[in-house]
Amino acid sequence: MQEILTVREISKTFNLSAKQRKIEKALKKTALDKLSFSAYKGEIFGLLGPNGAGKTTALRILSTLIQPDSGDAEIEGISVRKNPDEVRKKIGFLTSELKLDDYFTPNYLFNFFSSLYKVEPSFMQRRKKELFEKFGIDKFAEVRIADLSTGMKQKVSLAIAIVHDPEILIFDEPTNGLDVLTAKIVTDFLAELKKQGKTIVLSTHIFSLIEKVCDRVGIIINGKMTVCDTLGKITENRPLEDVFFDIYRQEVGELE
Amino acid sequence: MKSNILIIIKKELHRFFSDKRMVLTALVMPGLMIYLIYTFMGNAFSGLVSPPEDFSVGVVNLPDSLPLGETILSLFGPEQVPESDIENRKEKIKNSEEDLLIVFPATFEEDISARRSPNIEIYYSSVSAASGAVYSAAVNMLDEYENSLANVFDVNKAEGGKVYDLATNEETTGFFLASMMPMLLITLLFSGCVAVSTESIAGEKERGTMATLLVTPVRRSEIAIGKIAGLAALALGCGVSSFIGLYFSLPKLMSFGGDSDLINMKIYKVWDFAALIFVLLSTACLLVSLVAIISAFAKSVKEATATVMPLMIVVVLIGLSAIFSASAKTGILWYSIPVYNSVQTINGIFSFNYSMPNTIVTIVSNFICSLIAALVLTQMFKSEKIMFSK
Ligand SMILES: Nc1ncnc2c1ncn2[C@@H]1O[C@H](COP(=O)(O)OP(=O)(O)OP(=O)(O)O)[C@@H](O)[C@H]1O
Ligand SMILES: [Mg+2]
Repeated sequence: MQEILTVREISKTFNLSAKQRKIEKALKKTALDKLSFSAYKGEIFGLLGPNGAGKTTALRILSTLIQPDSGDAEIEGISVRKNPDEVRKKIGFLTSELKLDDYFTPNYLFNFFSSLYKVEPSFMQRRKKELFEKFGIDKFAEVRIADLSTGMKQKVSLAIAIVHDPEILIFDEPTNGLDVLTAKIVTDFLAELKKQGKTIVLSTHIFSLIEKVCDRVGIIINGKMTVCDTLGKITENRPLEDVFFDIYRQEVGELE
Repeated sequence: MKSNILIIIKKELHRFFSDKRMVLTALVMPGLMIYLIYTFMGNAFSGLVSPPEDFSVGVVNLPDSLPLGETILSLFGPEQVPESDIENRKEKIKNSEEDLLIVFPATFEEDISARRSPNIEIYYSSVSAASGAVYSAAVNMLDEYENSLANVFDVNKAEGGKVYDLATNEETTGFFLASMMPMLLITLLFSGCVAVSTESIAGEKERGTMATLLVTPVRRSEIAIGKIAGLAALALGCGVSSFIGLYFSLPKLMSFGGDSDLINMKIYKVWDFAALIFVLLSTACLLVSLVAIISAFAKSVKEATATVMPLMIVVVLIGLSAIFSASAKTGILWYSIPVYNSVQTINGIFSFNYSMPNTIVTIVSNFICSLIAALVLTQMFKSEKIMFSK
């Protein structure tokens, strides 16, 4: 198996803002503590963890939006610390924090991002047709983002995140806030991407999503990787939910 | 392959023009508002300055043996009022039924010849426009008469259509515009900069669309330069819109609504306007990048607009400096100081008093400062503390 994405002991501590200090009763917050994992070519890797575990922080580091305090991550052998511009060419990144401008149409945005990724115009036209048809965006191609439903916005975001047909996709909570129909379209699409040989790293706190699509899982609690293995080895045929709570009790103690 | 900077400039323009509210408030309104306000003010002034046609004046003890009596008769056509009626007339003025009452002492003529300085009483009501206007006309006329009594010599006595002010019409216009235009143009340009830049930097950060741009392979420097160039073009558009409003309304304002040639923009050549546009463009670049830096620190458009206020005050004050310094500076070093150099050059352009080297230094200096600001902005886009703080 070819290791295509490697995370080596990344740590990240945030200085808290005045507002957060009151809530956390501390000056700093360690979001990631020597987190390591790898993803292999053609698999779907799931980062599972409760709110505030550090999932988003880890994926932001992979997508070079922020830098780790220590440790490094490599994507196809390229360091996110040393060569962030190159890394961004290799990946597609999707999170609900990345918004599309209300005043543009899906068509305009698709063209705009394609040109930033230096996609050949003829390839871009074919890809636009394919993706817009698949997600049912074609009818709304000239409708402004502001006038689209949440589900349609998410589908446009998804199409735009992969305009350049990247080999590695990083999805932060890809089904968050979507209704069951749209969520199914997205999960089906993840499976299809995998079939095409793409590598996907996703984060979620939804057990069923992991069980449905992931090959391997890392359970992350308080910024630390607790277990990281294939889904089968971690669960040993028990429900993932039970396994998760066992680990959580070991790490943090009884739930209140 | 197209350059990323161009792609981003195009996107900024497209974004601006697809937002109708933005186009209206930043591009159309400033010019239209200035035109309407100044034209309206011009018309209102002309109403204040020309005396009312219809008024009623009363006079007590009109000194008809003096030339003054005749002047009063021909100017105001007053009704002669007996002393016993004074209180009654005063009441009527109070109620705006009458406009003015001039009361000469019964002994006025003798007092004058004996040089006893008699007092003339004039009753009026300052709340009535007609009464106020007739009152000032009467006071002026009496003052003039008093001067002529004690006449030792005259200064610039209007005689035979002689012209004493040797400045040409063009110079008067130039002098006036040179003191007003820098402040007006810089302020209007600045408000355009604030409108487009806070929206494009703080707004994109606030709405999460900036992060979408930051995950693409575009270099941070390309985003910074593309944004500054696109926004400067838009801000220049806002500035030009305001200027067009000024161009058409200033003559009306200054001629008090009439069509006198007091202010005539036609005295400037195409070349002057071209120089003006380049100076404004370089200034727009600089102001946009300053506002962009401030906006990048802010978490929301609201916060950005509030934080920009101190800079606004500084810019307006620099603009005001042109009103107090009569003519543009000539030393070339003055023209390397950003913003101040623009004010000086605009001052010079309108007073026919600008030089090529100084104008070029101004433009180059502003562009260099914008470039430095673009570098700062690039570093800010790279800083996760600034772009992704919670
Ligand atoms: N920019 C920041 N400044 C300060 N604290 C931060 C920042 N980003 C994240 N944190 C903190 O770091 C911790 C981890 O956050 P992160 O968003 O990575 O968690 P998550 O696993 O994605 O949780 P969620 O399920 O809520 O999305 C949280 O306590 C969060 O408050
Ligand atoms: Mg998260």
